[in-house]
Amino acid sequence: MPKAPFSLSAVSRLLAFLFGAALLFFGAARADTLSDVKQRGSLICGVNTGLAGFGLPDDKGAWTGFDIDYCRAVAAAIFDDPSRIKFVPLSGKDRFTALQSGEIDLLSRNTTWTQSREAGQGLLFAGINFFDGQGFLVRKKLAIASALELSGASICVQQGTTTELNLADYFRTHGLKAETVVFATADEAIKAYDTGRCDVFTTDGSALYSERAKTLRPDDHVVLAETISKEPFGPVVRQGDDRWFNLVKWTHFALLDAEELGVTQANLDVMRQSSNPEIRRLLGVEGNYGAGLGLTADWAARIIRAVGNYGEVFDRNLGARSPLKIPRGLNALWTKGGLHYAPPVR
Amino acid sequence: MSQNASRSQTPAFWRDERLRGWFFQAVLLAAIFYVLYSAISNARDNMQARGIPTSFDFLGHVAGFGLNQSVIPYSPLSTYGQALLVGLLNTLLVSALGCFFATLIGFSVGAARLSSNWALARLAALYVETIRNVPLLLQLLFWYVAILAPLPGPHESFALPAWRLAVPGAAPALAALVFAALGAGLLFLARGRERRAASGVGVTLAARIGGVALVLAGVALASFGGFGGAGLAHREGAAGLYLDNRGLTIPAPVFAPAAKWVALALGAAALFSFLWRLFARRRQKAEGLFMPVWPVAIAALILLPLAAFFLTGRPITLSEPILNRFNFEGGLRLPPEAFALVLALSLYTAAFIAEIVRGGVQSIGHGQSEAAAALGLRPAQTRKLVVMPQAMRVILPPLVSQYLVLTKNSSLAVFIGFADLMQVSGTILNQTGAAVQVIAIDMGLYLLLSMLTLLLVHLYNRRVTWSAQR
Amino acid sequence: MIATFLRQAPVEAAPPPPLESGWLAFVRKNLFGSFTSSLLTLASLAVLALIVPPLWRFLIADAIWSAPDGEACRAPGAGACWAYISAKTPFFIYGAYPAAERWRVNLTLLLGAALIFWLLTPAAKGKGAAALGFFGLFPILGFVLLHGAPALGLPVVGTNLWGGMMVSLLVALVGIVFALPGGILLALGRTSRLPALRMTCVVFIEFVRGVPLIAVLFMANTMLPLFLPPNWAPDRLLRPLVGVALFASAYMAEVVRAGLLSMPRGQYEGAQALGLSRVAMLRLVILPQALTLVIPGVVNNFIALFKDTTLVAIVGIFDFLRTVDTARLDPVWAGPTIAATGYTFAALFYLICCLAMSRYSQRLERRLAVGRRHQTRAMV
Repeated sequence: MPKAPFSLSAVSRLLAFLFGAALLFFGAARADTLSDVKQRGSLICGVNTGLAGFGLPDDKGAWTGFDIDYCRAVAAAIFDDPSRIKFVPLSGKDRFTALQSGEIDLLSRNTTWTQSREAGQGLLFAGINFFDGQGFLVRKKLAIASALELSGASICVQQGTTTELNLADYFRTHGLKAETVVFATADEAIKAYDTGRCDVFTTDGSALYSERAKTLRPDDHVVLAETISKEPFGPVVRQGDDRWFNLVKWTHFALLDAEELGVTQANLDVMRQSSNPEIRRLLGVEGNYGAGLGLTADWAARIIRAVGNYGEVFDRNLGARSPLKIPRGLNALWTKGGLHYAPPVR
Repeated sequence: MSQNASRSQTPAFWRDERLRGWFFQAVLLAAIFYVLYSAISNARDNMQARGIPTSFDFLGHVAGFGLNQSVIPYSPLSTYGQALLVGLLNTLLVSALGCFFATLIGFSVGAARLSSNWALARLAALYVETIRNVPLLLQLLFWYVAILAPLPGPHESFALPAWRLAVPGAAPALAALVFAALGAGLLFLARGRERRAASGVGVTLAARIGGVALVLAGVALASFGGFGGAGLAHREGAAGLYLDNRGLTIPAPVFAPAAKWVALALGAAALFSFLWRLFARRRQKAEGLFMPVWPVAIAALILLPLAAFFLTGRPITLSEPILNRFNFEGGLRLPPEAFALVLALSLYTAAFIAEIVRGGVQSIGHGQSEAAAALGLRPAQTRKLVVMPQAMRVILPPLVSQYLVLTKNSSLAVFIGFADLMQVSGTILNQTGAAVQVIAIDMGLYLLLSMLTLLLVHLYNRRVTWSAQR
Repeated sequence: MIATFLRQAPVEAAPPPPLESGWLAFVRKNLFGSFTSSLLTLASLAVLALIVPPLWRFLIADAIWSAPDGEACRAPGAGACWAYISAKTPFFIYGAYPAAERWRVNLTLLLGAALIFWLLTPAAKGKGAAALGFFGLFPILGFVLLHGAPALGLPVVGTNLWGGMMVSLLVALVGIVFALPGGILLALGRTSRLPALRMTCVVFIEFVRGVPLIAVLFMANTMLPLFLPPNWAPDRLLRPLVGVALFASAYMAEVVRAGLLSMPRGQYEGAQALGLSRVAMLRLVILPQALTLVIPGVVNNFIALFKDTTLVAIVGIFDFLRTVDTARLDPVWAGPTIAATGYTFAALFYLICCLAMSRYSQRLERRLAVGRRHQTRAMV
């Protein structure tokens, strides 16, 4: 049957790889992602194929999500226009090769920061923007207070994921016995949980909320308090480009600092008139801290104008103003009992 | 000039059949060799280019995925090789169970189809036609998705009630006797009047139906004693068999160390039956004395282990499944995937086995049963001594090939997530990409099973071909 | 004088004894002939009483025949949701094939059906032309129609949009179109005198018959791209078609071989005595007779193949059963009776098709078996 032997994305990937190899060969700094982005006029951001709350396209192809907003923040910092982005949906298998080969500039795809990924694959994690961990979803009417009461239960998991291994470790450590029922996809697993095939459903904590929304009556289910693994998500860039790495990292810190200082999308203009020196430095009224990043002085103000501060980004996509209603928990600021602590802009 | 008389007898070399044959074979072999060679070298290149493992070493790597059911201990930390072994054992288990139930149901339905009762024969024909003409996958999905998945949870499972024997109450027993007497009387009356043609057909028919109904009512009363349960069979709690959406739970046998004596007794009984059969056959051939084989064998197989069981102080007990907060603990659980697969396979193959049985029995000519009747044998004896032995010879080869078909059909487990050989191979394929090795192992195992079965059929055929074939 | 009596007219035939004829006698003999028989009849009636009323209620009495969405079907006590079936019927038949181009699918299927009827009607003439059309022209024409050819003004419709009954029938048709010639060749090869040819055919046939169809489909799906050079990436639908064609050929080869082996040796010898070459002997004497012998086996094989086409869903092809299975996940229609309704509909479709084919096969077998000994039908 007649068929195009190469797909378009494969060709472009190949060309991108050859281009990168050529640059290396000619000794030019392979990294100057910021110049490339500015020259191109848009940021290429690698995102999830479809995960509610983090990166999800709607029917018309418009993207929304927590990771999407991070891409928008970086684009706003560079161009003052959060829409100059090209989103590239990537599966779990090819997300890192796309970043390494230069096909994308930034990977914002709920990727867990692990040593093997950073040291072994030539990547850098520009901070932790979401502290996640594996959790359990159970029915409210079972009145289970903690995961330690789950001995003897049937637990639905997706086959072949770290979820399975974490579960086995946790139960072995606490001397509990449970029956795991494995399914090929997460959709099948949550459907089986909903029909009563198992008593518990387990996956990453953030995904638990979006999967709960898929059940027939989401209010009948509750997420247990226990988190049995560490899954810190963060944006990922290539090694070898320090300026780009700093840019992305400080975009994240700017969002946190803005929330800490109380600057929101709404009161941005008012806050510009503030006498608080920290706010003035953040918004670029005093000093030019963007120059070192290759940006303008009002780089943080651009970010906040585009997406708001971290709390607003969280609320809109994952928290109170979203269907998921994930509590801040560990993702609150250090002043509110969470783990987010950003260095100051000075 | 005269023609040269010495004409060569051999034809031109391009007409010689033998040479043409050799040439054609050489070309064929060369073509096959070329195709295989290019295929293998392409495969090697492609696999190296995509980073797919090219050896069997990956079988020793950690699998990292769990399986829903395994006969041997298995965890996500076991290796790929162990996962394949679990898959193979699951396939064999499901096939064995399927073959057993399919034979049972198939022979019953086949006998029903041959029955002289029109209603039963028609019902059996309906079953066979319906099951045979609907794809097996559809039946499997129907059982799994539409019947087993919507079952309630363990707390509302369907439980088999425990029936125990008790002394029936006086009233049900008396009523039962009265009904049975009335019914029997009616039947005798109907038979007598019919013999004398003293009443119309409709009346005697109605009387017969009434008689049978009364007798049945009497039996029912004696057993169940109306709604009060004061009959012979007494409901008391649950028998330990539960069906819910987590699967079928049955009591698990618990073996004490002394249970090995029961197993030894069973083995000894089997040996004894085998030797008895040899002895009985030899005695029958030598002296014409008819010695019962099956009753003695069955008696030995039941009584010897039973005696060992009681003498060693009941070493085998049943542990009842107890419902705790979430699930049943203590029993054996067959997951709904396995249950649906065994059910679908048994019912489907039973329809084909029924047709084989029917074809086998009908292929025995009418002359055989007529001659047996002429000799004075009753219908049951004719069936047992004349028809069935000959029919079994015709039935056995297609029956064994149906078993093979059932084993191959068990690969449909991939559609419902049951961890059989093909499903586990599919998961390993997705994770490692080592398509060639995994599929080679699969094919090798299935071919081994086929070859073994075909060998057995071949040996059986050789054993029976001494008998005159018409 | 002895008085004689001579009947002038024949005696009226007396009516048969009441116990031997009429429906009452039938009932008495076949349903209540003996005590056990009566019990069995009552048991059968009990089984029917248990099964038929709930089935009737579910399928007909309580069923929802038309509704705009799944609300009515979710009501408690609702039966089968036939409204869901009628709403999804275009999807079940064509899959995602664009609506504007569906006439091409209809044309292809009609053409195939006409050719098959022509081939299978015993009284029809010109079977040679029909065979040429069916095995030679129809595949090409069908492919052009279904896939599209920009040169002829037919827009290309990618195979990822094909689905439903169309794909099931396509896979079955491809199976039969390639299986029959392939099976004949393999059978001839297997019965040949040349040892290498015979060995090759034996190994191939036994190999394919010894493994499940799912294994062959996996092999075709994952190994075919590896065995071919990298720029020959075969289409997603082509790979299982290749697997199905190979599988069907091997089973057909066994059926044809049974026919070839049951030909009396006299036919071979007579043809050789007439001086026919090998090819002419096969073409004019052996094959016509052998194929006529095995037509019932071939039709049985086709019925089994038709049922086995449901297995291509494992490699991601949206055949009829898979479309029914995925349609039940539609949230608009979700409800407790949807799965059972969908499967009942699919079962009815397969039941009607397969029953029709097996009735045809039995009728044909009866016609062909006149004057022949009873043969036990080979079970596949």
